[in-house]
Amino acid sequence: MLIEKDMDLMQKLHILGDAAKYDVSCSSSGVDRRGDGKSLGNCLSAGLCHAFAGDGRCISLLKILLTNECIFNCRYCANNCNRADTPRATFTPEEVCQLTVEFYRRNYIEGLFLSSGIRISPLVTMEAIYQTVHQLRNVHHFYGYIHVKAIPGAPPELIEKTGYLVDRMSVNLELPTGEGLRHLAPNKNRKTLLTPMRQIQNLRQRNDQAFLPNSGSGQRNIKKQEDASLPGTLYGQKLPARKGQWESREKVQGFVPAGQSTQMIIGATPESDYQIMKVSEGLYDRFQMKRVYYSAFCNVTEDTTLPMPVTGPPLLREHRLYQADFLMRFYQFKIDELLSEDKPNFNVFLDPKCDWALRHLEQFPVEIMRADYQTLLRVPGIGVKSAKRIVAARRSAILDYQDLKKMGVVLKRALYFITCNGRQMYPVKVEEDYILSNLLNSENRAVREIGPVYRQLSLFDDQKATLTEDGILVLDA
Amino acid sequence: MKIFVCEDSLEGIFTGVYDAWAAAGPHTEKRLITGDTWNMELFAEYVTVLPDAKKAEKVIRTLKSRLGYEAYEQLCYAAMSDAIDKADAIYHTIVTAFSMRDSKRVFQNMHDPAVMRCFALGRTVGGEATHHLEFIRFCELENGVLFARCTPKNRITLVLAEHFSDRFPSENFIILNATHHEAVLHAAGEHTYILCDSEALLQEQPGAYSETEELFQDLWKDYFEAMTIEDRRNEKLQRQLFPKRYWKDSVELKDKA
Repeated sequence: MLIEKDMDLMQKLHILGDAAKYDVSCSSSGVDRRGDGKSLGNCLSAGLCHAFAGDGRCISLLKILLTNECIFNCRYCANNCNRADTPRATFTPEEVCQLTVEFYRRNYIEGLFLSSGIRISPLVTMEAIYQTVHQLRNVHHFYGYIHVKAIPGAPPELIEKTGYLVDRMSVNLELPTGEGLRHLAPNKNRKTLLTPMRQIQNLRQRNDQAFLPNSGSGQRNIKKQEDASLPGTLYGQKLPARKGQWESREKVQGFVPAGQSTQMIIGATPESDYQIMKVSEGLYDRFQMKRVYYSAFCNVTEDTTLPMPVTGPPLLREHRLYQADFLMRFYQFKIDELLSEDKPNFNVFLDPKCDWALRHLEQFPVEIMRADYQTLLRVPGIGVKSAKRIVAARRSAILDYQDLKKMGVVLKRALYFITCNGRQMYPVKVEEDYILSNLLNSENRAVREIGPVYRQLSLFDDQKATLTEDGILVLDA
Repeated sequence: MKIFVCEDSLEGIFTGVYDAWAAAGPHTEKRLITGDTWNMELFAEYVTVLPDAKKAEKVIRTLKSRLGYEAYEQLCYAAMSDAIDKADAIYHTIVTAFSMRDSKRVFQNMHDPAVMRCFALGRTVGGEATHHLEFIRFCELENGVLFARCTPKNRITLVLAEHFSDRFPSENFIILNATHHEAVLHAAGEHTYILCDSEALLQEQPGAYSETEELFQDLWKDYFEAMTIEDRRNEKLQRQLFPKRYWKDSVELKDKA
């Protein structure tokens, strides 16, 4: 192991920032906390992204590892203990605090995301994370957003103590199935990962009940669902500002107020999209996750036994999973509607919503002036915001296609699935093949990237476009 | 047609609303414009409106109580826009609101062109304001003052002042809006901030950096570069989310701007 002595701050930040970048979560959302008039910082429930790196991912939090020394040998991870040539570094709590505060004052970041390699033992690692966060909150009076990893295997009391200091906690599920985990991360197992998740969930629930003594947990759940349908505000809590030691205000701040999240690596193991999404549905339903992140597998360890696609990480697949994730969280879709055992993977060419609509043409076209909110949400090209606007605006006026466009409806997708005052935008056939070929021609980037699809010119519009199981587009006359 | 020429400020526009409302004739025959560059029209009567704090105050009070705070805020955002038709859109939105049974629902009435326009203006301004909350960068000067410079299209100084006064209560900071020649001055421990005409600030250099400033800038630049996953490089997406016009006032991408 390469451990250099007397490394300066610049080298450490470089190594430990670089090592943390494969963690996906960078959101700073979920808590609304006004400044207290003295301490540094506040939080906005919608979150702010302060920069975007060269790969287009946002940099909202100072995402670093406390140390990249690690006793585990997860095969997908650049910091695994068998890699002798990885330079190793460890921050002191003071250095982390200084970086966070100084970056925050210059408006570079929205807060801190602290993760860590497992140094010596989970207990020692979690203790170091706790000390750092404790110092940041109580010595530097930092009031901004903090997200930390709960280290699986650390004592529950330590996780609980840390949870009262931070806004969000996460435990990475790493791989969708226990099988994959055994294979790639021999030191981790499903049970030790799920234990802290369950603990965080239970403490949060107890905490929620303490917050709202007059409303039963049933009402609370309804409120959660309503809020979950609002874009941008992921059930943000309004919290009053308090003074003094952070622990003494734990009753106000609460336990992990912005909730917990997790992430899965996609494409390192052979699971289907259906399996992945089923796991993620379970995490949302049974663990009340705020977010599940999907991370396209990059073979950073250059392990030849793991997939090493020449086309790079499976980014399109990752994109489809996120689309389905949003359909599940904001559009009231169930995964079994989108995928099934027989059709376990998403369509490469079409987004999951269009794909679903094409398979359920019997439910279309939908009349804009009359359809209820849930039905509008299911129309491709209509999002949560535009559906809400339509429902509000049609109370006072008869809408036309111009209005819809201004409200944010994407007409090039929606026009096949809607009527407005009984009329289509222009006459189109509500037929699967016709709509599919039009949708693909008009916008689909995937098709353009894959290359043109040639076919014989025809006087009659009778060609059929079908997608085979392997995602190949076949056009026949 | 009666055209009311207002000063380009919240006070000016709301005074214009007051005067136009009080003037004789149907609302469709009245129009509001702001600023001093516009095309003259034949057969129109021009009325110059002098900003009047009392009249504006009355309008604001009425708007808050009749339209509700959210709609009022939306109108204020529209008023910060750099569009020339904003005052007219605001006026006719208010007219529409008062003709509705429930004026609080005015922004649901998206079929109305003025309301739609106000909504669109508010959305643009809000978007730019959020971008500025995210992308402006402070540097620490020798005397410990934090200084940031920005060049927004819309007059969003007030939004920045609100946000950063709440966020940095114990810092001395200056945010200079170089487009509109305004600055936010915030003194540590004070809850107030001042917007002033910043011609003088524009002339002077903000002053030398503090000792550690360059270190932290370099740390940030290095960290920013290290965060890119090379396998996923996608500069088009980066430009889409972090538009190039913000790069020149940033630290990490200043050299590429």
